[in-house]
Amino acid sequence: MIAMDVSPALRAAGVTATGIALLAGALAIGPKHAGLYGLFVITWIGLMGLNIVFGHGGQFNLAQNTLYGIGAFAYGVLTTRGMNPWLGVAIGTAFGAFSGAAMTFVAGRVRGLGLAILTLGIALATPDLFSATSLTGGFNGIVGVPPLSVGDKVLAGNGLLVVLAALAFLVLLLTRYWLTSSWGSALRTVAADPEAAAGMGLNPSRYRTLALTLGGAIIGFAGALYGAYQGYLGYLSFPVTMVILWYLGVILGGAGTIWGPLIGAGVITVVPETLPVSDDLQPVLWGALLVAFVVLAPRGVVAGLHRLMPRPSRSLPLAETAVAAPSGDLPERGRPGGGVVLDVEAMTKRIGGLEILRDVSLQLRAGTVTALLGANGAGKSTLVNCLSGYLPPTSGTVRLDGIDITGAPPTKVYRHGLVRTFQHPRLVTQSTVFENVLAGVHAVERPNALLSALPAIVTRKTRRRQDRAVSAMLTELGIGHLAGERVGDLSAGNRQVVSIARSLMANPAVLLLDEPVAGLSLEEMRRAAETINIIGSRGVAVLVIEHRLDFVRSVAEDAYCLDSGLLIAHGTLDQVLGDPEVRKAFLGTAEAKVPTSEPVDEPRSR
Amino acid sequence: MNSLVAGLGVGCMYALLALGFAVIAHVTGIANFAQGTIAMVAAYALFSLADAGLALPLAVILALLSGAVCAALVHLIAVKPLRGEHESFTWLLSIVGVSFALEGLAGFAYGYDERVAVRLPGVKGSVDMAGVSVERLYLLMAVLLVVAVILVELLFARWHATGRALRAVAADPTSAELAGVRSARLKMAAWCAGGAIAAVAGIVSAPMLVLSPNMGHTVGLLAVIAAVVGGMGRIGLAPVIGGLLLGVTQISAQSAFGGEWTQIVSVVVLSGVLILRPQGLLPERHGRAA
Repeated sequence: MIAMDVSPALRAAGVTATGIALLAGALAIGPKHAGLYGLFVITWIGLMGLNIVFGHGGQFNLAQNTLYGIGAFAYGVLTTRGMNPWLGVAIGTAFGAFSGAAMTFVAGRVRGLGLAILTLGIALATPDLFSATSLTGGFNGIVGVPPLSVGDKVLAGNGLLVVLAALAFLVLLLTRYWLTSSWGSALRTVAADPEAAAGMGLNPSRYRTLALTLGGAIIGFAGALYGAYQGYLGYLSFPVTMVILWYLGVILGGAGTIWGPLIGAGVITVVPETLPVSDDLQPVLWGALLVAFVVLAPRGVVAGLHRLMPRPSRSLPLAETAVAAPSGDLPERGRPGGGVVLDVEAMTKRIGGLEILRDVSLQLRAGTVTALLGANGAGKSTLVNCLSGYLPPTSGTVRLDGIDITGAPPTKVYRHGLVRTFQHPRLVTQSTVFENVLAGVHAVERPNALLSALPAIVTRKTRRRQDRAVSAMLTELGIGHLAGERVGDLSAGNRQVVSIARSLMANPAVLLLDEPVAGLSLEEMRRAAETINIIGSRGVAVLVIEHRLDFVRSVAEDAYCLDSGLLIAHGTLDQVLGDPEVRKAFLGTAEAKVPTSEPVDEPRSR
Repeated sequence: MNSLVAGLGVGCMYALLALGFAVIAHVTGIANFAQGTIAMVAAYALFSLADAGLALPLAVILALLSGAVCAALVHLIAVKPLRGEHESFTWLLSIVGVSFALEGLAGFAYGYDERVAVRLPGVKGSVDMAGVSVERLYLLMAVLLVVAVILVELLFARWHATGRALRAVAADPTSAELAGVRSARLKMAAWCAGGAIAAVAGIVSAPMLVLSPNMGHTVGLLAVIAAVVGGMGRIGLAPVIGGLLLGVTQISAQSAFGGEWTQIVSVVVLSGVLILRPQGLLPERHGRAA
C-alpha cells in the first residue's frame, strides 16, 4: 500500500517540503481565503483518521460524521462552560477514541457489511441525535463556541492557521511513523485477509479495535478543532453528506497511502468553492466522482503519482545486505538436530458423516524435511488445517515440543512455533515485499502500540533491527532485489518465496508448506527447493504437501502417504515411494512411471 | 389500537421496501443502499408524468418502469464493473455514490422544496373496520404488499425453469454458471424486479412522506433495517415480518418519546438485531417456505 520504491531521502525531503509549504501557506494566505485554508487543514486531519480506519484497517465505518460531531460537541459543551480550550480539544479527542472503541465492540460482533449497515444508520440518525438532546443545544445548537487561545491571547488570523497547520503536520508525522512501522504492515495484513493473518499470529479483532480507536481519536481531534474554528455548532453541521465527501476524499487521494488524505482534503474543500458549478449540481458531481474513482481508479491519485516517481534502486541498499547475519537479530530457537518436534497422535477428523482423517499419527523432526504424499482428496489439506488450528480435530492430540496444542486457534498455534503457508500465497498484494515480510516480524515481537507511535529513539532502534531482520531474510532466500516491488506484480514463484519468508520471520519450530510449487515453472520450482533446503538446514521441521515427485525428491528425506484419510505408509522417501500400496494409491497402478507433469490442483479446503 | 393499525400500515410500506431490497440481496448478494433513491425517482417520475397530463394508469406503469430502469443502471454502473471485488464491499461506496448523484439530479430538476405527491384516486380518507378506522392508503399498501409477495414467490417458484435458475444463482453463482445458467441475465432480472418493487413503495408512500429528493436516505435505510430484522438476504415472509415489526416499533416509540426519536429508535432496533441476532429474528428456513 505504501510504495517503498521511492528512496528514503526523497521521501524525507517530501515530508519536510510539505511541512514548510503548509506553514508558508498558513502565514502567507490572505484574509479572503483564510477560512478555506483552515477548513482544508482540519479536514485533512479528519481524513487521516478515516484513512487509518478504512484505508489501512479495511473497516467500513460510515459514522464519520458522528465521530467528528462528538469531538466537536464535546469541545463546544465543555468550553462554553468555562473549560480551557486545549483541555477541551484533548477531551474531544478522547471522546472520539472512546466512540471509535465503542464501535469496535459492535465490529467484534458484526463485521463487514453488518458494520457498514449499522454505521450508515448511525450516520443518518446523527443530526437527530444532536437535535434531540438539550446538552448539544437542541435545534439551536451551540452559539459562541470559544476559539483556541494561548494564555489570554485568542488565536486568530494567520497565527491560528499556523497552529492548525502545525497540528496537522504533527498528526501526519505520527501516523506516518506508525503506519510505516511493522504495526502498519500488520494492520494492512489483517485488513487484506483476516483468516491468513490469524495464521501469522495476528489477532484480527485486536487490529480492528486498534484501527477504529486510533482513527476515532484523530477524527475526534479534528472535530474539536472544527468546533473551535467555526464558533458555531448546529445539529445540521454533521450531515451524512459529509461521510460521502470524506470517503471520496480518502479514495480519490489513495486509500491506504500516506499522502492520499492531503490530496483528498484539498479536493473536497477547495473544489466546491472554486468550481463554477451551481450548488444544486454539486451533489451530482460528488456522487459521480465517488462512483468513478471506486470503479475506475480505486487506488487513487497517489498510486498514479507513484508511477511517475523516479525509482533509484530496486534492490536493498548494499550496507543493509552486508551486515545481514543469516538469522537477523531475532532470537533463534535452538533445535537439537533430529529430535521430534511435532508429535501427532491418532488424529481423526469427521465432517458431517464423512471421516476425512482416520487415526493419523505422524512425527516431524527438527532440521528434517518430510513430505506428505497423497492423491487429490486424500485429506492432506484437512490435515494441515487441523494441525494449524483452522479446523478442530474430532479426536487425537497434537504436541509441539511436548506442549499440547490440539484445537488451539491459529494465533496460539503460531505463537507456539507452528507456522503454515497456503497453497495460493495469501499476501497483501497492494503492499511491497518488504512490508509483507515486516508484518511477520510484528507478530513475534508485538511492540507496544503507544511506544511505536512515538518517534522515540528506543523504538527507532527496534525499527532498524526489524528492518535489518527482514532484509537479511529476503537476502538469504534470494529475493533481496525484490524488496521494493509490489507483491501484486510478482510471479507466482516469487510470491510463494515471499510467503515462506514471512512465515520464517517467526523463527518457527515447524513449518507446514501446503503445495508450495503448485503452478510453478521448473526454474521456479528449483529455486523453491533451494529455499526449502535452506530452511531445513536452519533446524526447522518442515512438512511439504506436494504432488510433484521430482520436487519432493529434491527436498524431502522422510515421507508419509495418505490415502482416503488413512496413513498407508511412512518411512524414508525412497521406502515410501517404493511401497507397492503407495504406488497403487498415488500413481494409479503399481507399474506406473513417476509422473513429472503437474496434476490438477486439489480444491482448497479451508 | 389505532397506533397498532398505523404501525402495521407504515409497516406494510417498510415491508415493500424490504422485499425489493431482499430480492436483489438474495440473488446477487449485494445490499442495494439505493432502494430509497429508486423509490424517490419513481415518485418524481409519477409526479412529472401526471403533471404532463398523462393518464394515471399509464403514468403509474411508466413510473414502475423507471424504477426498474433505475435499478438496472445502479447495477450496470456501480456494481457490475467491480467484478471480483464483492468481498471487500467497495460496491457499497459506488452504490452510495450513484444514489447521491441521483438525489442531486432530482434536487436540481425539482428543487429541494417538499412537494405534495400525486395521490392515487380512491385512497383518500379512511374506512371503518370493526370499529377501528383504517386509512385507505394503508389498505392499498397491504394489498400491494400481498400481491408483491405472491409475485416474488411465483418468480422464485420451483415449477418453472427461471425460478429454479434464480434459486441456483442465489445458492452458488459459480456452480450455476458452470451448469449453464446465465447468471448475468438473472442478476439483472433481480435488480429490475427489486427496482420495480421499490418503485411501488415509492409511489404509494410518497403521499405519506411528502415528496422530496432527500426522502431516499430515510426510506432506503428503513428498507435495509426491515430486511436485516427479518433476516438479511432472505425473501418470502422474512422482509414482510421485518417491515411490520419495524413499523409497529416505530409508531409505538413515536407515541412514547415523540417524533424526533423515530430515526434513533430505528437505529437502536438495527443495532440490537445486528448484535444479538445477526441472522435475523425469524427462525432459520422459515422465510423460504411459502
